Amino acid sequence: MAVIKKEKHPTASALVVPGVSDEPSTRDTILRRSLELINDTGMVDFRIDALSRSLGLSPGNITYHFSRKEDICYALWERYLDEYDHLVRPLTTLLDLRQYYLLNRVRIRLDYKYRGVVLFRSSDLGAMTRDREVNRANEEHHLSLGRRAVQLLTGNGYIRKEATRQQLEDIHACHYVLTRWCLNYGYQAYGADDVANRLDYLALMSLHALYPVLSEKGLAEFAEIMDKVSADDSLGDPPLQ
Amino acid sequence: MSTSTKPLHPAPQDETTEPQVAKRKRGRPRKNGPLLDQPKRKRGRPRRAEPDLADLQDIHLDLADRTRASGRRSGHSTRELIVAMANEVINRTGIVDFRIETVARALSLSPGNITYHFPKKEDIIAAIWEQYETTMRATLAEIITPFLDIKQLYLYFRVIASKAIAYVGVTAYYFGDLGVLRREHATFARWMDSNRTWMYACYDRLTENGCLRPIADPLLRDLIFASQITLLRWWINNAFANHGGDRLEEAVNRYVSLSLLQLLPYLTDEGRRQFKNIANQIK
Repeated sequence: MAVIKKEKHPTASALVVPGVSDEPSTRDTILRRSLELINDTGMVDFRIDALSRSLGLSPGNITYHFSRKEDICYALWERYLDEYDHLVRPLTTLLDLRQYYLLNRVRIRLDYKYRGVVLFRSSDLGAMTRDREVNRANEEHHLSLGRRAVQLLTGNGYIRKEATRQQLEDIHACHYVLTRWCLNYGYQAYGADDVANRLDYLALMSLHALYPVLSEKGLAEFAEIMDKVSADDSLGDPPLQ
Repeated sequence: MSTSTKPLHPAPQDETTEPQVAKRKRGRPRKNGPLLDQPKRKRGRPRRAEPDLADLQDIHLDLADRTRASGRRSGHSTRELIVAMANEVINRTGIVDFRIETVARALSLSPGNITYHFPKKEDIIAAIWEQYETTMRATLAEIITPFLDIKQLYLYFRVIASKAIAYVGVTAYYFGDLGVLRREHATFARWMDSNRTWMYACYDRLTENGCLRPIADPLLRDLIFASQITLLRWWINNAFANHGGDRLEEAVNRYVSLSLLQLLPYLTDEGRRQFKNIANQIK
């Protein structure tokens, strides 16, 4: 996927006072605080003046770096894509359901970290129309990873041999929708304060997309994962800030 | 959005005036001269969608006879006309880029007339949402019969999924904006619970009618429910992201069959036969 590196504004480097260059830049501070606010209120209710107040900066200072809140959203989205590209997705020939569960879990956790931006990008019609290409690339990437994974899982005996091509394609589509929008489900079913504790369950839900084509061996392993997940929710996971 | 606070000025009614060009209101002025002629967009930078009347032309024609006067004749109040038109606009632009002026121009009303009925665009959105909710409630209440089988379930799911198409802009916002999800959580949680009860009743009925083996494990039941509801509620985002708003009707069948797929492991021979039948028909 194309990750667009945003060039620093030419004068930004001139503003850095020598000696304090290891301090986070204003731009960085703005982005970090923005993400916190957006994750809390959502993009639509996010206001530049609320941001400037909470940072103790003048609104002018912020609009110097980002002229509109959409620019902040886009910069955060780029960071998300950047991190998404650097996610380690080790698909080895040893792939089993547990490993695949972990991959889902890692992805959902990243989505959760950037939830304000991710939910906006995958829910606002305007944003989805403008970003059709990026979304497509992202989905294509996801699907090809899923196809490779199912191939490996089939080789290792987790998928029923008699599953048809069409069924497998359907499974991939389900898996994409479930992985991408399970956070929305979490928000509706559990509420904003509880979603973080349910990431394990949501990852199980996206793994459940494969359920219709699992072999006996696959079903047995799924049952084990399900037992563990329902026993201790997110105990193995350090909380996100 | 900031625009809701923007003072509304009467839109020029003269058809020959050019649509307003996007102006940068805030921020540093562009320095490089040549770029001024040809506004350069940073790659991927969200473009504020100006109310594009060319794009709305077909709506315009559709509704040409729905002016206030003819609306009154056909028994629609101005308020209803505004809600209907706003819904059509939002279904194309989404909430964020939605402008009251666009509706005003499409209906040949003054913005003041619209703000008389709806002071803020949020009020219009709430009215549309209410309409959607009422429709859904009425639908769900009537839906379950003693004869439930896989084919009927398909039909029910299809009704649920496709009701959302007419409200795609507002539902995508309500189901996808963090602010709304937070504010409306109590409502959504109640919905989720009643949906779960309804869906579980469906599974039981299907079992009684010989289409489904009982799903004993409560966790598996919940996973199936969660997957089905997620597919039925958010399929539209995936479809919109892929095909845009014009081809949702075509896409809905596929997504509904995806949500049925979750039941595949539990189908009896009879259920399997019906499921195959549906899959073949859709192709």
